[in-house]
Amino acid sequence: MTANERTSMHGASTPGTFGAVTHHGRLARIGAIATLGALAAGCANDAPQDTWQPAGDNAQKIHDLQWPVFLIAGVVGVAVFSVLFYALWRYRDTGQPIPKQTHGKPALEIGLTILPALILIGVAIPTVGTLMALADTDDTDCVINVTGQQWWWEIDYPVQDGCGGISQPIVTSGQMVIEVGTNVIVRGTSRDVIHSWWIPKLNGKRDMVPGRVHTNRLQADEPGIYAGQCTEFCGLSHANMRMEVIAMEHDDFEAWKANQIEAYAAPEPESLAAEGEATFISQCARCHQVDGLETADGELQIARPDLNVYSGAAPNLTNLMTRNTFAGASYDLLNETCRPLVWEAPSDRVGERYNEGVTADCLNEVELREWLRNAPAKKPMYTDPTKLEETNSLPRGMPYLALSEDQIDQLIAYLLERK
Amino acid sequence: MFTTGSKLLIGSAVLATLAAVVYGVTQVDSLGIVGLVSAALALSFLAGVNVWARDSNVSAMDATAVASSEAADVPPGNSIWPMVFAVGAATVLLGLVTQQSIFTIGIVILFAAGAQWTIQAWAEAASADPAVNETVRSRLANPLEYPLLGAVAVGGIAFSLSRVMLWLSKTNTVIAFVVLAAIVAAIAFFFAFRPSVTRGAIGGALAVGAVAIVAGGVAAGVDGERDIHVHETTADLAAEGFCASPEEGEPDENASQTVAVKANLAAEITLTRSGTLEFDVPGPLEEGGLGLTLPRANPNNILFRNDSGEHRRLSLDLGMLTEDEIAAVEEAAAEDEAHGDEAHGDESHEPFDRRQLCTTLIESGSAQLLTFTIAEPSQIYEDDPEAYRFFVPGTDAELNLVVP
Ligand code: HEC
Ligand SMILES: [Cu+2]
Repeated sequence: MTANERTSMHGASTPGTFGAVTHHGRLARIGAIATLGALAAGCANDAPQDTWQPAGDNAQKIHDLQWPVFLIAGVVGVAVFSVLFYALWRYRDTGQPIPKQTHGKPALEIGLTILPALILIGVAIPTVGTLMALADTDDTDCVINVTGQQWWWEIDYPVQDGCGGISQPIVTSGQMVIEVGTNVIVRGTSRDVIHSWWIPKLNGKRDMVPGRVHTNRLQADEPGIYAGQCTEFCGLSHANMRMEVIAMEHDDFEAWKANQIEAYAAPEPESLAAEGEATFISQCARCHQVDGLETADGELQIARPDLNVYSGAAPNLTNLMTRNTFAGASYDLLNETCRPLVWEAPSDRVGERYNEGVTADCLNEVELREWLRNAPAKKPMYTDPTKLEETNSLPRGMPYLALSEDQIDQLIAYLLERK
Repeated sequence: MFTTGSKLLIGSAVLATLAAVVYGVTQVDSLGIVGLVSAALALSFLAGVNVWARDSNVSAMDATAVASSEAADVPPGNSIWPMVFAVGAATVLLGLVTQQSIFTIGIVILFAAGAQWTIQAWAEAASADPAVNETVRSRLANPLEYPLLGAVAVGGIAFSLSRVMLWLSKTNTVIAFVVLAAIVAAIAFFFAFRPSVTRGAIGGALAVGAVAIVAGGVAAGVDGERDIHVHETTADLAAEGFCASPEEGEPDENASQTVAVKANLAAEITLTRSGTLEFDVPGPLEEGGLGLTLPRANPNNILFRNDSGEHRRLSLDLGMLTEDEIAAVEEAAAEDEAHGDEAHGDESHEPFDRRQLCTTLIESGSAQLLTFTIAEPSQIYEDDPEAYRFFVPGTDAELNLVVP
């Protein structure tokens, strides 16, 4: 580098430096505001997915573990940084002579090895205890299977003596109904990629892995609707893969179960819903199961989603209108007038209101129509028939079906009776 | 300026870079670019190391020294590398007309000899003193040679040992290798407690051991592996109609060795001594109600435990086959017969019209896994030819399967 170059570079650097200072100033301000924003967001007091507000004994166990651990970590962090900053400041270079150099200080070194070891052991004992308590399956009273697929959860209740007795399997999606106070054991798996099941107010998260069965305990102290969402990135609509647990009192839960297994009631002949049934059989029944539905010649109509959808499953619509969200619990089935009646119901009314289901007056018809008109336009899914080589021409999600508005009218009438 | 060795590497790096650019512009495939860019980076790195290492060597920087020093006058010494290089080239040609593996070996020889040759030639120009030149060579070449030769040696020995293991029977393998390990440990102790043993003795022992292992490996490899018993798969059994029968040659004595998925069962089904089928699933579910519920359209791992005191299999019946499926089965059976397939030649079995799956026949006290996926829900749960059920051929044991 020549002397000339050096000067010119130096010359250029002065205004540049000024520029950088103002720029840094702005960045710092933005950073500070963002940090404050993030902190403030952490304080929201009606966050539906907040692990710091446990609502059941499993979540409470985690809570009882995490706050002392954070406390200990915080105290250690503050202590370490205080000492560090004190040393930095106290012994900064002020031109003092270099002090005498010594090698090692055994007492201090051993002390600083033993102390953290003791702290870690102190943290490890309750941690392992909590992990074991949360992995226990023997003290649970109700088994519910959960199966993830792109991008919704199927929930089914196997035949059992648990859950107060289930004599016929119940299959639903997106919303899991449980009895208050019952410790439920979720047995989860996946039909395609890894998903993760997490209801923050009721327990920690559990990955749901194809080919494996993983368990997760859930128990809620109070009736209510507890939200969660998939927490393992699972593709395009990962953000629209949600779920809710609805906890209700014993009598409400019994009523819910009884309703779920009620025999299929065919629509009134010649009604709009009856036309809807025919349309459903021709357009939807290859993917969606409606238990008890019969074809015109009296055969049971059995869905074959394994031949029509990549994951091999589509939501069971037998009791669609007993849930109040749809498509991965991403959209409301209740309109704005009726939704708060259930979602903001006082704790002792939750089950009763939920069991009313979706009536014609309460239906969020706009969004359900949008869904039937063009599902992939509402929720991002891989359904473009020209781009399905990878999945053997099978869509992931519900495809566009080119229904007429008349057909949609019929289907809405038919679906409204599914409860 | 630049030393001789660096020039070669710099030139190669430039060439690889150009090749990467040309390839990238003309070809769409990315693998080639990755290869060429990696080569360019590797060569640039080596060139950099070279320039850096030799640039600190005053004689190399000194133009007169390069042209007229003693080092420049010393004729190159004997080298084995040109010959090895030629062998490599011949092997490559041979490989081109015969086998790909020979070609690959040739390429490896070619590169190894080329590298050694290059490094040696470069080192010989370092000074007039052959000893110094040798250290210069070692400094660059050893860090490459040691790990590579080490890997080749370890790989060769591991491969030889594995041939021997596959040649011996299972039990003999265990015995032979326990003895071998004991001998190795004994020799190691001997050396450890006798510091007076010479390097030569240790080296000799190691060399004898290595030669013995490789020779054993070659011999075992040539003789071939022991007979490894091939087990029937559940699909074979189903296709041959054995799921409804309590017979099938001999029972599978190794059934319990299918451990892979035992840790993640959808259910464990036990045939009890009293001849009933009982199941256990994670959680508080017990037998009762309608039977066992398993998810639809998802692989299920079921472990079958046989505690009955007899050889038994677990079979799963999934309803009637459709007429098309029956026709396909019959066609396949006819074809087998035409080809004189003798897999189960002696045993005659009934033609079948049901969709079935089963484990092999297993001994009492052992367990075996059955993995399956059911696509269609079982809409009928009671006694019906279409209902899904587990059963044990030769007994009355039954268990309903509910698939929602
Ligand atoms: C090719 C298979 C397929 C067909 C045909 C199909 N669907 Fe779907 N449907 C799906 C899948 C897959 C989902 C789940 C999408 C999601 O939530 O990501 C779904 C979701 C739904 C849902 C939301 C259910 C819930 O519980 O969340 C409704 C309602 C629905 N479909 C109605 C219909 C109707 C009505 C028809 C006939 C006009 C129909 N579908 C045809 C595959 C299909
Ligand atoms: Cu997911």
